[in-house]
Amino acid sequence: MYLKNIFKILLLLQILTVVNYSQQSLDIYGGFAKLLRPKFRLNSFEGNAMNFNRTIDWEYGFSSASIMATQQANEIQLAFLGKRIGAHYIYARYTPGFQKSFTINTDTLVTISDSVNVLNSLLNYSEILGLGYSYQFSNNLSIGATFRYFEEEYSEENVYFYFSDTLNSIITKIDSWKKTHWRGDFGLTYQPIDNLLLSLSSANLLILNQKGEFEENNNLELKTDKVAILGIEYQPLNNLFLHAVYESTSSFLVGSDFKFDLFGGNLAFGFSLFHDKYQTPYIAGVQPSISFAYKSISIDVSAILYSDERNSVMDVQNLLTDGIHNITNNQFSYNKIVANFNLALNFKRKQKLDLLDVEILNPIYPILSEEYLENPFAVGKVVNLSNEDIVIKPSSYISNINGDVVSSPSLLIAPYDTISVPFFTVISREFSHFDKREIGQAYFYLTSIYDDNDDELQKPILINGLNSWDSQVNNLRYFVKYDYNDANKYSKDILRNNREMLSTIDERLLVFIQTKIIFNYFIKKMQYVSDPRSSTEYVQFPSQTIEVAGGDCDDLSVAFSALLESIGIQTAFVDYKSEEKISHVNLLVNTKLKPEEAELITQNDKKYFIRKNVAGTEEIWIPIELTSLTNFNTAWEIASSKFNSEAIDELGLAKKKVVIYDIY
Amino acid sequence: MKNIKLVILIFLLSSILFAQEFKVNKINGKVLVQKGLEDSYTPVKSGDILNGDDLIITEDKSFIQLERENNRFILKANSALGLNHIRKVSVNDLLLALAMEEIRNIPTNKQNGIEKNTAVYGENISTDVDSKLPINKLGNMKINGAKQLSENGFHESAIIVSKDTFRKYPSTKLNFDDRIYFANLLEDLNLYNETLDEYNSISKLDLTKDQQTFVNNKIEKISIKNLEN
Repeated sequence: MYLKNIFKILLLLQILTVVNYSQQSLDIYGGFAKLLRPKFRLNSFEGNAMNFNRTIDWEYGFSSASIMATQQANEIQLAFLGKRIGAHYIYARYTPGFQKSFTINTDTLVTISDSVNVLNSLLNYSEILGLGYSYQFSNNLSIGATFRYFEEEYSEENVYFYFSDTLNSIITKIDSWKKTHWRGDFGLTYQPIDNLLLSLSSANLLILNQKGEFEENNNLELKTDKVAILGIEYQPLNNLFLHAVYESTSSFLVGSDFKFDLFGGNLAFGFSLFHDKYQTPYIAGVQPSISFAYKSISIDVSAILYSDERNSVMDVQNLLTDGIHNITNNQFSYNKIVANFNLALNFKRKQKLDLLDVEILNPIYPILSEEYLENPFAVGKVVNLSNEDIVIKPSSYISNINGDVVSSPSLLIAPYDTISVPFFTVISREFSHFDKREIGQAYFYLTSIYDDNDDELQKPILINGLNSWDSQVNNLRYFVKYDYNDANKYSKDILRNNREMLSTIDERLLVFIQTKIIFNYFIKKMQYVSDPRSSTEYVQFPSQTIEVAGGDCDDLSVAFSALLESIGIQTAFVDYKSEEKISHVNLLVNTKLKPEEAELITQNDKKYFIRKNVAGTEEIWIPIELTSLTNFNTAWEIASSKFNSEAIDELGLAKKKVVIYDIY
Repeated sequence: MKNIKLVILIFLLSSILFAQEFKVNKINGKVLVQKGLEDSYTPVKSGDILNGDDLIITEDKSFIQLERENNRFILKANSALGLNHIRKVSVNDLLLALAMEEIRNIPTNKQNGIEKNTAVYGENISTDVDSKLPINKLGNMKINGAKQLSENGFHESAIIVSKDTFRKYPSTKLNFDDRIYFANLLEDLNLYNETLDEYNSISKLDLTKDQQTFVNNKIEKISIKNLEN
């Protein structure tokens, strides 16, 4: 057996490549602006050392590559799993295909017996796994870190001579060296405006837990020069994206991609070219790519085509001088096609609607329950986060006011539009018996129709007592109608006692005489009593006014109106607004008399007013002042004088200084 | 010369704004006053002081001359006039007053046209209200008073009085000539929308053929004027 053991400098490298990629930041997904596009699935640390991701829950993906030169296809290059928890995004990947192997022919022949053996050296770099974490501070700022575990192994066959007294021998033996390390990188993304995203990240910033070395062959160890990487993505048009990456080694990558809507998804074509300091020529290669994303699935196919010819057998000199800086993209990498499949496993349904804020228009006045059916008590600002029309169903629940969630009318909201959404409520009597005001909680819900709640918001709300009034004279009618039965009984009892007299009058005067009788009976029992000191206006219900035998102008007007309305006599409040903001309220009563019948009740046409009813018939209305606390005729004259002066002569009705509110 | 006197008279009278008190200078025949909100009427004597919220009524062959701050106003026979109307009203205030005609009505969206039923007791036999004066003529007398306001330059005030009278005394609305008189006042003030409304209302009266033709022609002419404005 002969040994031609010559440790010449290696002359020839026979390179069998399993997979390879590019420059530090060349992404296996190809030429896309991937950070700026919300639907783009990210599973790479190469172009995303800051672990930026927009997924909202789980995400799973894998990739496979086909090496053109060797016609070798790998089953799984990479498999990953990501999970978002609030602002945190955690990511882990297993990269069985991220390795690079070299078989180095030493050109040393060893002849033993009749066989001739060539001594080889083996060199292997592999990235085993990676972990990532990022935190989203706001919609436009995210910071993250990635950690990747690498293994390197170098082994060479050596010839050993054994000499002894009886036998001399030659044997070949493999000597190997192994090295492992963790690589840690940091990065941030910042999106100052909707169509621009900037990123800054590192490569080899931290080399951690380094074990082993190649000793005298340390020039074959994976290079870990520190590199800063600056990225920019820009969307000048709705369908066009531009991206560029610059590395502190002076390597760079630029590209663009164009997306189309197709079958409800996005089809994108991208093209990038890159310059790598350690590869030739200046533009080391190009990267055409195609991607289709539909809902939570995306499929991407990209090719990496190097500018120079890559043979499977190459000179080793380059390896010895420049070394390997990146096991996925280096001077020995082949043209390849990479296919990726990603699936977003969103167990958490994607939020389509965002309830930005809710303005509570007014405190709750339980007496105004009917009012809340027509007028919202709160208005929310809602944005459609999706790219489709959504029918939204707003609803609300107020503690101690509602027995159940109250739905408001549905609304249509256009994609990405922001609209105001009114919230209505229903206050049932069983929940409205409040003696004092209290703070409740209002819960606002937004539902995209057929789905669960999309967003919700909670706000404190002031709930007033049942006798509280919002100072809107128009709303006094709710106090009038609150206890109609009691008022009806009171009025009927009075009229029953005057049945004989009523049976003798001109039937045209019935309403007028009934009004006069009830007024004279009611008012002689009353005295003027101011409201209790309170931060809100307090109005008594008619039964309370009758019970306590007194009240202010609101209470007396409400009570007398209820007494008439409960027996079918039409009334209206007259609101006299003063500049000192001290309002006065009295009543108008519909006598049902026609204008030509006015002389039946008065010879003075300043004591009545003609109003046309909804049927177009003109009727005589007379004003009544309740606080006069005198007889009917005096109350009538006082109110007539005030109405003539302020409503008619001073044009108060036209200038809205005097307003008539009909009770309906 | 006559025109100059009229202009001077109008100028003098136009300064009587919200007159508080009027002195009765002269009286001829029977003149009554209804004070404030009283139902009764009392005779007026020369030298009496009358308030702005009083209503003056002159019977046949009667007149009254009133004076306030050296300005005089004569109310001729068969007329009635509230003294608060002897004042200059701006066109803007006239428009507000006309707008109040609608404001005081019951809004059509409030009742759904359903009238409440009220039980009717008894028979149509009597009333407890005394009829102290024959007021069946009062509407026409008020229209006469309004015309005299206009003749004295208070056109806007005259229109307001006429509208109120037409409403409170429906029979006065049926007088074609009176309606045309006040419609023309509106037209003279270039209030074409309001004039059109008035003519449209007049066209719904029971008119003769000639009257109908006249009204239709007026409506056509004023519509054109309205468009030109």
